[in-house]
Amino acid sequence: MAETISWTDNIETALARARDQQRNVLLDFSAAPM
Amino acid sequence: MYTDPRVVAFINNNAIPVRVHVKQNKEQFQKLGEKYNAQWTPTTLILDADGNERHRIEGFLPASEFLPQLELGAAHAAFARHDHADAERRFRDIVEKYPQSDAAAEALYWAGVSRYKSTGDAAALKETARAFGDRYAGSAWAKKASVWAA
Repeated sequence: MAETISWTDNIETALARARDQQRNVLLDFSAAPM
Repeated sequence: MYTDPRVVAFINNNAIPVRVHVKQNKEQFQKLGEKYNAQWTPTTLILDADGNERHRIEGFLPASEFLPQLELGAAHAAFARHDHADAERRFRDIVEKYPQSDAAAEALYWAGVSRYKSTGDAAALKETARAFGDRYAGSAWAKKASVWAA
């Protein structure tokens, strides 16, 4: 099965994870069908 | 953009992905759209772990352009945290992997700046101007680098 992206809409949690994992956050503002 | 396996792999390996849908997450969109000045969709931002914007992509791009833009964002984030060696490696990687992309000229420019920042040697800038040569001649980045040629 193809790899997919696990999106969240919680920016605070994402930033905390980014700090823990020494990563960046990709923030996507979208109007495309989900 | 987000169905291409190379894009998916890069995001999963390098970033924490947050999606705010303008209609389905109206409250979030109002709050974060205002904070990050998102006036159009798609708008894709690379933020550092403190929430500072390090790169902005506005409008749709095919995967062949979107992927180098994502990598450019990661390189700019490294540069902003003063990890100039990592930034240079990332910028040079973009030039090497995606020489035909719109991101390549910007990456070549910032690779030179990153080298200069890490070594303090102005020769890095002169070498960058030389590396541009006739490459990316129409780009703003080639014009910006031309001042280093003298």
